[in-house]
Amino acid sequence: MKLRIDIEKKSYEVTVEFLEDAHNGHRNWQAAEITIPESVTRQRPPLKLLEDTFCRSPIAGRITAVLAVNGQAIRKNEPVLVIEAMKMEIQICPAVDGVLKTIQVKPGEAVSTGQLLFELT
Amino acid sequence: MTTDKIAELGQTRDRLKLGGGPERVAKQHKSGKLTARERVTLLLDRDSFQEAGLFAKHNGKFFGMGDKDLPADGVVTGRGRIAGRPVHVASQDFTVAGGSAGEVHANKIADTMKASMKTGTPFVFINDSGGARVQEDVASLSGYARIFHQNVMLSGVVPQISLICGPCAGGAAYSPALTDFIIQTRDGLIFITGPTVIKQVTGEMVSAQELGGVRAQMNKSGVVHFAAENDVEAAKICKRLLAFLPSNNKEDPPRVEPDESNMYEPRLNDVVPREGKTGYDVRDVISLIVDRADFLEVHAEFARNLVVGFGRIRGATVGIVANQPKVLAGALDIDGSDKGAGFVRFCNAFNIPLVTLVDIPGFLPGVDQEYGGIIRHGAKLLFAYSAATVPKITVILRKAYGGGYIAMCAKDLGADCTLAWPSAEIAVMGAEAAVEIVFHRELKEAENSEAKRQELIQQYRETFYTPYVAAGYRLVDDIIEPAQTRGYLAEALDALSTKRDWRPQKKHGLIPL
Repeated sequence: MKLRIDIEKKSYEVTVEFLEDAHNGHRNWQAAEITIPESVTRQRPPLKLLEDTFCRSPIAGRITAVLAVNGQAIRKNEPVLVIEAMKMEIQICPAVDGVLKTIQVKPGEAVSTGQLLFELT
Repeated sequence: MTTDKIAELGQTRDRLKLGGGPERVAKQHKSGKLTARERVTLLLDRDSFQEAGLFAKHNGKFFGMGDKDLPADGVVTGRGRIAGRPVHVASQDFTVAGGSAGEVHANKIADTMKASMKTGTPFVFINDSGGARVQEDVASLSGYARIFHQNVMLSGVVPQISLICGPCAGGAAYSPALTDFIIQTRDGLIFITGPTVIKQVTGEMVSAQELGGVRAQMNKSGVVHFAAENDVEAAKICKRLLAFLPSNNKEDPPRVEPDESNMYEPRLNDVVPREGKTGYDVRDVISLIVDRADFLEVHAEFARNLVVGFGRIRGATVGIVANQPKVLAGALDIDGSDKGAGFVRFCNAFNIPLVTLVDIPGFLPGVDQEYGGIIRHGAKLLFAYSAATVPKITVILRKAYGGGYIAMCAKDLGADCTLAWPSAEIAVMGAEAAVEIVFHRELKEAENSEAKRQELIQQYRETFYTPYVAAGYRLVDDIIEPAQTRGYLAEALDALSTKRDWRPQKKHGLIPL
């Protein structure tokens, strides 16, 4: 399992493995011993969905802040812009790491559900 | 004699266990997948597997099937243990006739499921198949129908978990759909009609991954509950999930070593931002409430505006449902309602108490939502909570307005214990809307209606954006310091563990569908 851990404003990506499920009442069992071919566990590039590249607004509201510029490298789950809707500030973050190609909206603009907000390369 | 026959048995077993043969096994590995047997070995405790039907022969009569030797008819079935607890498994063998399901193949699975039912043990089905075996024609279809029927018989009796480790297309997709949890790997594909047929009929072009890959079927359709990188991770997730669950609906969930630490957790006092408008990640709250911060999130990438999953408090499993303020402002929509209702129903079926964390401004407005049937879907969550007879504890963290407040297991839906944090804002609706309705005339007649509006909104907030009014009505049993939440829940859950709730006999209620 991959985790991103932020410690004092620095971000670390770590891989965590559950070696055994420590929390079980039954003590007398052992995990299987089996060789796993490398082709099964090798790292493969992340799966893509169309919406990763084209980020659309999940809600109707108003853009209150744009936090990045065209051409900027952006990280997954870090806010690119803020929409105000239902009296709340909602951060819009990309689903994957990437480079911002174009931001389609500006602060103060009203957006509708499904409207294209920004594009990644 | 005996030694010869035993030797012969050993050789036959070894041959059959190779499935489609070393070349096909190598191809399976190369594509990043384990074989059916390797998956079973990985999932179950060492040496615990007792296979049934290794020597089964297929029934195919047409298309030259009579000559073909299909080891175990393409599926590995039997019983074994996971973490010492008996389970039944079926694992389709892609190396034998593409894992296609013929009559005998399907019967093996259906019979394994019956054994699961008889013994009250969980059933795990590992899908990796080209689908119904065309050569066996309607007999294959009938076989699948038998599997679906058994899925329904087992539903709510024993936990059923599906792993999608390869193709699971067409009708075959309905078996996982009828089970409780689906774990899909990146090599798994699930859809009813594939890209080729879709293109022929509607002209839409889409790749198999975009249509039936794990991200599509979790993020977009909500069919899949867990995403796994590969077979190894899928097995881990399956084991971790089962560790939270009872073996059947007559058992309580398993209790493990209780964690007595951090019953007073000061960090909980800092999670909800002072600014009413700012979102936060409710999983920060959850990780401070559950034992060892061990929270297994279900449906993580679907309807992210609601968080559901399993944790433990003082060693006992709890099901957690929580609004996620940083997504869609925590509002409930169609997908969120479906996700929540499904999870609540599962917990109720398997005696898992529910802890609901509330921070919701309401249901998501929009024409899409209305035309999509938010009325039907939202009602599912209300139904699920009311119908649930497991212990239900609700903690209101911040916003709890209107219909959203009710839908998140309000006292009147049968919550056994409702708590609120001092930051709770329990109101019939948001201040702006309320003022508009109640003071409509005053605002029209006012000299400076905007200033008047702001003044009235401020007054409304001061009066109603608190937990005290609701507590005055006894809609909230107690208002507690956030840091006390974990300790409070631990005590309350202990006390409620013997809860009995009688309901009138009926064939079944009618949850809006």
